[in-house]
Amino acid sequence: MKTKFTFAMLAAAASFSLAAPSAHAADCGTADSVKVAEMTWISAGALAHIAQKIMANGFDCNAQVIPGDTVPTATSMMTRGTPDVAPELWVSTAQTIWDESLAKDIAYKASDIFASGGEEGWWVPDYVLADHPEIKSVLDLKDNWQVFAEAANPNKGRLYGCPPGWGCEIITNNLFEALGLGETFELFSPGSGENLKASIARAVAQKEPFVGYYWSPADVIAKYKLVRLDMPAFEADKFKCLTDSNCANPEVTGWAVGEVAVAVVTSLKERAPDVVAFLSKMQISNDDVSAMAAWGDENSATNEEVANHFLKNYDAVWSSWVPADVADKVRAGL
Amino acid sequence: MTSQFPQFFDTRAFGRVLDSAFNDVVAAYGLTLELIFLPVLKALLAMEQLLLWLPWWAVLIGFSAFAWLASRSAKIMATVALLIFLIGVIGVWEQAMATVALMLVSTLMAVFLGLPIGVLMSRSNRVQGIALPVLDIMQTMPIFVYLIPFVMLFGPGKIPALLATIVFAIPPVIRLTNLGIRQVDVEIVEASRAFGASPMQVLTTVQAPLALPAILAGINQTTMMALSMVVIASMIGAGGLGYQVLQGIQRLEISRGLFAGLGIVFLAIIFDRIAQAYGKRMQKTLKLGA
Repeated sequence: MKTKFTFAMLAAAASFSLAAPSAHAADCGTADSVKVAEMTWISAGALAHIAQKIMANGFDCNAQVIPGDTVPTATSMMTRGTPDVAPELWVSTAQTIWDESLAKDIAYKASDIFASGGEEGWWVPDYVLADHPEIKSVLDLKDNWQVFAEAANPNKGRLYGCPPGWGCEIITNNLFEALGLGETFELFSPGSGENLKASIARAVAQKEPFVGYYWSPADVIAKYKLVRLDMPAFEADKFKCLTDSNCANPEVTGWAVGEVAVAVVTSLKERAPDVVAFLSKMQISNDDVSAMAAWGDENSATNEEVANHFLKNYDAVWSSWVPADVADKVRAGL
Repeated sequence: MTSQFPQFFDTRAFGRVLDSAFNDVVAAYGLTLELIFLPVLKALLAMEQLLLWLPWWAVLIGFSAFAWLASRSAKIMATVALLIFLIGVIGVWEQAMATVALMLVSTLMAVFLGLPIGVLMSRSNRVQGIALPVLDIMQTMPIFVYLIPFVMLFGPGKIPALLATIVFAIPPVIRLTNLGIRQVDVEIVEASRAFGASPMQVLTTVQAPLALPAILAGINQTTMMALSMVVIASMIGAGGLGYQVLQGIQRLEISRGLFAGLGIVFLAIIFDRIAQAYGKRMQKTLKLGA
């Protein structure tokens, strides 16, 4: 009886394993739900919806988009293992949390979402460079502060810093000190990303000078034709000090090319291996991202609409991320 | 599938027209508007600098004296002095002074603008009919809807914060001024008219004093609402305690958020106690006189 039973089981197992490769369609594995973090800016929001749609339609996942922001999302991924995916996580912004997550094997980088990484720095509208050819790099700001003076404080130029809590805040503050800008510049904290954007919009609408923190790829860069001021070459040890709020002697260096990860919680590897395979291929060129974001801005589209626009018009880009049958299912769901 | 509401006109095209029109306004008048409000900004900054220039004990004594004058109660004066002291102890003195400056200027402006509007409303049903829905909109419209346009119009910083605070905080003083005056006993008003008082005399010597408790309650509410705006105002670069709260939240530094939050609570208690004590004292004197 015993031998018979084992034999039957073996046979069954053999038939299963033979049938598996042909019958196995990409699916969501055992994951009850996959949560994707939707950050506050357009490219990350659209990427979240793109990932969500591919998961929901292509892999039949119960995929949800949940609101997030870099540091809170990274923290929540580390401490609570949720959300499962952050498609555009600016690693440097949450460096210590991210390092800890990697060390504890709670999260990992599935892919670099932008082909050329993220560019951070101080940007000016193109007309500022045209009107003031003497300003080329961040080193030229100190002597040309008059250009950036505002009525509220005519004795100093105004440099729009980084919103509070963003990782770039500490870097901007240290760089401000390293460049000795305190003598001629006021480091103005915009308070929020929206306010920074509104300040740029206001300056460009009036053709007024503006210098401040921003990042690329972003719709704002394309829409308001911002140009990044040159910076000295990147030096890792100096930059490391810049990222430290207790940096004793900040020195000028170039901004590190941003590592922008498709951050995924490690447990998803087991719960949804097919989805993880897709996420490891997810990558877009910086130009495509900016174009996508600019389309969204021009048409005042929601993140979800931008995602639909991308899936319809950039088929070649995303269809290479997934098996052909999954791509067909995603197309059918559009 | 969800059913959809029929589209009567292209809201997106309309929205785009609205957006570009607003951008044109910003381009054409942005700088002028900023310059018009520059004196207000200078006053605000001067106020802040004065509060920071004064030694901490002078500010403490000033607030306590003010509390004594308003309440004539040693208990309230001691409470105020203790809370001011605590604000310094928890290390948010500088930020608290910036917040006090913004709050005082916006409250003063709200009262200055709100009282005449309230009086006007109490005298004419038509004005009231128009003003009440406007006040409803001001109180329910989410702040961010007008906060960011204010930034584009006036430039980032304290001015849009001040204006947004006024929009948010002015309704109570208008409403309660109107209500207070309307609730004054008709017979008393008639009696004073019978003695030959002019409408202006009726207002200043009869209606206003009798409505004073309501008006003071309105001012108190306006102060509290102005204070509750500080966190939101800091999102557009107003600085102060709200900025610390914001940083605390964003960096998940619970302690920083907590200390700044406590600072806001202490300020609220200080202003509330002073205003309430003054209101009660006024009420008492009036009742004794009547």
